Amino acid sequence: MKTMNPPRMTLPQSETHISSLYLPDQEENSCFHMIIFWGSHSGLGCFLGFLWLQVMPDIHLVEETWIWELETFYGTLDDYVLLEKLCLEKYKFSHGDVIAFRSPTNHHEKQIKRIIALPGDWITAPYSFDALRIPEGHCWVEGDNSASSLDSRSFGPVPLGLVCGRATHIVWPPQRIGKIERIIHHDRLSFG
Amino acid sequence: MGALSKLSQWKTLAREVAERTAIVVNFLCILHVYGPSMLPTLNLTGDVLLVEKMTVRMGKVGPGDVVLVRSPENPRKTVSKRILGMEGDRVTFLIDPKNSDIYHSVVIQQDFYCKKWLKKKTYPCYRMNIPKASTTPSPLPKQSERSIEDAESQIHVDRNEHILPQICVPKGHVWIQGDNIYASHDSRNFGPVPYGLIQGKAFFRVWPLNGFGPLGQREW
Repeated sequence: MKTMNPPRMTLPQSETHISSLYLPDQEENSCFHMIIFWGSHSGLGCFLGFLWLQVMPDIHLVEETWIWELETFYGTLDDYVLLEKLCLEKYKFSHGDVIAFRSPTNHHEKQIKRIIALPGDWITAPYSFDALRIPEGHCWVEGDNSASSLDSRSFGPVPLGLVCGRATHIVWPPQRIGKIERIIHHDRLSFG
Repeated sequence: MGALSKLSQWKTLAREVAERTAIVVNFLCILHVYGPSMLPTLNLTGDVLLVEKMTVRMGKVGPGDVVLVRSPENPRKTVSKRILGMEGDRVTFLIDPKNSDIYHSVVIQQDFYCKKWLKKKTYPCYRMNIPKASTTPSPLPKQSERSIEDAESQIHVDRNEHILPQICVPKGHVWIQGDNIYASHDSRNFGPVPYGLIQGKAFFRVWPLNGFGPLGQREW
């Protein structure tokens, strides 16, 4: 039946009727049906694509210097960590979370550090007895290996809008697979 | 019978559409913006703008562009402002234009000391070093005695004894300001913002129709 045009006055058979509505390779299709077809498919595709981009976690390559900053022993391989992006919906982080953020001094670079203080907290300033209040919308980040870490002690509090995700697990190399623990520094922090 | 083959055709088509849409979403999006801070360029009640993200990722956004920026005070809010200064510029600005008779709200200069200060490895926390306009200034050093440390932030006193704060935009930061300086909460309040907070560049207005067309430089 696909090679013949059925005459307009007779009802087409049920099978060809359905196929003429949904497949674009039938000659008797009108422009209207094509528009409906493409419109509904792109609407569905847009919706699915949007959901996928919001929820998808990513595997992020960590450069070698991060190993020295986060652990006390030296590693020579790069670590791969799992970054979850669900925390970016509400920007709610906890003390001691390890986050990945774009560097405030160079937007092409990403860094991974640990959150020491959240907005509204008071933190003892480095190398002095002063207390600094973390402004709204910013956080204080530091690397675990304080001696060789370029962090908030150099460039100040980091706006939370720069954060790309939270590192929850190390996934490679296999001997270091495991959860990344939260470490809270109670001695540097005071609330209110 | 035919339903199963139709379903597989639907599936491949849906997958292809999803992949292509995911690619496009990274480049372009349509946004509705409202608020008084960008009058007269953007309306109070709202405009629908086309925003593109590729120029931002390539680092090619410059002064005069209307951009969408994630607010440094509240990361869940996105604001639209205009970029006026890039890293290394010295900005002399006016926080409260209602109580002042100064005509220009901001003066951007390229400064030798600011450019040299950019090369220093560590930067002060920009948020905590915005000087207040009401403090009395100490006498400014002579031109020959100025050094790189003076570039960080200071007070500028002009010929008519107006006291204006002055700041150097640090590396990787931009100075954003709304076109409506009387009703805009921008870099004059929270300092220069890191370039990484810029989400996209608004280059075209779609609605309302009498403003349909590209968004250009400042209209005044």
